[in-house]
Amino acid sequence: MTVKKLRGLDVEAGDENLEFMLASTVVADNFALSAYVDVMKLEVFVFNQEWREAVDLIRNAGNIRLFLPSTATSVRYTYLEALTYLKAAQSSSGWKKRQMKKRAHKTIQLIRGWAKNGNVNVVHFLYILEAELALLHGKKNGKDKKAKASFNAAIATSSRNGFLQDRALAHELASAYFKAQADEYWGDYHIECSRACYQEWGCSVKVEQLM
Amino acid sequence: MAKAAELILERPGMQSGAIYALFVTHVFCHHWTSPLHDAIAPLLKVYQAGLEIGDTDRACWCLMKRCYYLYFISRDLGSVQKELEATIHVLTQLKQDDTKLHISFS
Repeated sequence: MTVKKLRGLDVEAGDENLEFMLASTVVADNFALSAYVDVMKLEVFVFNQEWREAVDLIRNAGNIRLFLPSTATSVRYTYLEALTYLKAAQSSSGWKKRQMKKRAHKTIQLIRGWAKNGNVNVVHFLYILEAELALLHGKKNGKDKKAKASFNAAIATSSRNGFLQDRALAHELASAYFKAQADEYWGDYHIECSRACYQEWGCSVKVEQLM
Repeated sequence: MAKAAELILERPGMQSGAIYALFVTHVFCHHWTSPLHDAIAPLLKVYQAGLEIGDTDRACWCLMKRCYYLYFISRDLGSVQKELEATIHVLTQLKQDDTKLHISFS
């Protein structure tokens, strides 16, 4: 269903089925299955940049890492969770911003530890998160330059390690960053690269969205 | 540890416990130290070996995990969908309803 949704096939039917499955897993107390549904739903929210829905999902999902211990799915969930918290922190203020920032820091710390211990599959996650973290800190202490360098590293690493969808997202986030800096040239360049990556991956929904 | 387990399992007479051990190493251990791309082929091998000795439960879990990995490593979504449909067909034939449920929303 998630794949069909990203390809733009049976979108409404897919939504209804996901909700039905999620409801039936809750009734059956099947926490692992419910966790898998939540991860795939979060995946779609992040690709569509629906951060508010993503935060709500994370809040209601509970501790997914507990239900899917030690799996690659829980690693990916951790990355999506951290990115969601960072985006939520960027768009909020005051107490809410501090809360989201704290949660993001905690989750990034987990990923940093995994990367330090030799997990090659999370290195590009870490660069994307560090770029967004630098954006959250604003222009003070040269964080702006760090964001730029981290976006470049994220794109290079995800490309080298063969994670096309993450490369596409990194380009998309980089484009938003450059456009916020009023740098239309690099903004357009990254959005074009992002579209090409999504096209290659087969994600028609995003290709249309970025037109 | 996972690699040591694999070496021990290569010895004769270890077939019965091998599927479970290989399932655990490929699903819970390998991705922490090796690229996800490297787990695709071994998971298919474990599935085939599982079917050979009649451990269909674990064989199907390997197949299900393989589909997730195909998605995570950015395999073209069209081919992932084809793999998913083929996997759902296999799981239906082997009456693995629980595993089928895990895969039908991915």
